Amino acid sequence: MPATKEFPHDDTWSLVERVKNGDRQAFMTLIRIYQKKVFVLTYAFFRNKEDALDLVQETFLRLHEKIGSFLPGRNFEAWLLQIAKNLCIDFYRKNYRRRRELECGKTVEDLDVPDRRAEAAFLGRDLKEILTRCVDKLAERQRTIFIMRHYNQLTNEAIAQTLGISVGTVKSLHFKAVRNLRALVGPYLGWEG
Amino acid sequence: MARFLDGTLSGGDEDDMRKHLGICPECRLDLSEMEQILAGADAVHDDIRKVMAGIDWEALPARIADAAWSPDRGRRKRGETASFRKTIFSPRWRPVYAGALAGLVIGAAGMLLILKPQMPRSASGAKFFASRDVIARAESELARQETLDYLQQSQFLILDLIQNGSGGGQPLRDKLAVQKARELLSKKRYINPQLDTARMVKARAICNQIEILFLELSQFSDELSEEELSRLKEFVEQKQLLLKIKLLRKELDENEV
Repeated sequence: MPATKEFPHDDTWSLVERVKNGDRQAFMTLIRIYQKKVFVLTYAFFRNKEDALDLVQETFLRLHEKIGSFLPGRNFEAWLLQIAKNLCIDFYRKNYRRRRELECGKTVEDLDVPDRRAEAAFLGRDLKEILTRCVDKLAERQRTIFIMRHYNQLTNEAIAQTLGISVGTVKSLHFKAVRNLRALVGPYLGWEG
Repeated sequence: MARFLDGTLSGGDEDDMRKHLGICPECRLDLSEMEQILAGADAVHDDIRKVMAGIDWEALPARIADAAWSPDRGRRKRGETASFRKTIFSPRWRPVYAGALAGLVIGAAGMLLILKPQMPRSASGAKFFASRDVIARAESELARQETLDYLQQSQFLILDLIQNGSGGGQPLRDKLAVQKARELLSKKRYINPQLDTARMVKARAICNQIEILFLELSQFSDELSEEELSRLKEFVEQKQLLLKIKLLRKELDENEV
């Protein structure tokens, strides 16, 4: 974002220091820089704009509460996305899995293979829609890494830093996620197992 | 396959992989389907961008800052805590707490007296607690190790049959091979649920093909005829079992949980 008289283009650490001292403008600048990245993550989890925006707000409010514990030298973006990711997981566990089941009346497990093809036809064989539902069925870490890699477009190194794991583990879990998605999506699209 | 999809294979390995894809329709299909998954994910990313275009990003920072600086937020947090403490520790609840505490103490003492003679003495008395995530990872790692062991033993047996085989000449060796095949069939039955739990779909498919080979071998007489050995070799070549085992072992070696 371009530097202006009102919002000098400081590096992130300077902004963090100012927020710690109660500088509201610095806090708003941080939000402007990172709000879209956080939104992509929260929206990718839930595909609901209102829930995603609520979580964006909650992420920055949580950041404001915890900013005192942020230490120099740490990666701010990774820390922020970690807060967002934890909030998403908590919210998902409390609200979202049950809500999805109530909305469609069935879980993905309830659908037989022949019904899955009919379901796919109903959805217009839309790979995006089917993929989104199947991403929800992945194990937690695989789902998080898949979302961060393909929707947030983060590199393996950035994901590793955000989640506190090695790059090798990120690659391994990403590949498992893709393979498992293929197994989950396949019956909907008539792929041979 | 993982690094080929990522585009991070070295030049020589990438050429090998392309050559293999040229002759293996199963792997080609695997790759094509996984590429479709990734293309679908890219399309979802584009959808997210469209949704973002309809949001008022200029207003959001001020709204969040207002919430952060709201006196209600601090007051509500402090008020919630104070009210909760006031309710919990009010004088009218103290007799209830005293009674509950006394009941707990008496109940615990009674349980100890009744159950103590029946409790088995554990050798170490150590307790181990693990989260679900840790257990899931441990199970995946165990499945990986067991599958690697199964693949290695299968590979040795197949190589032994192919390289040293000329049927009818070595009854003792053939008898050992048939016995080994039966052991590996048992091992395969043991690892089946682990492969399913860990969702190792590809590994399961390849191990199933190996299992068919060993089922065939286990039904032969202890002394393999020329014809029987030839059938086994033809199966191995047709299914490219040795190459699949090699690729899968390499993948499992690299993919530690």
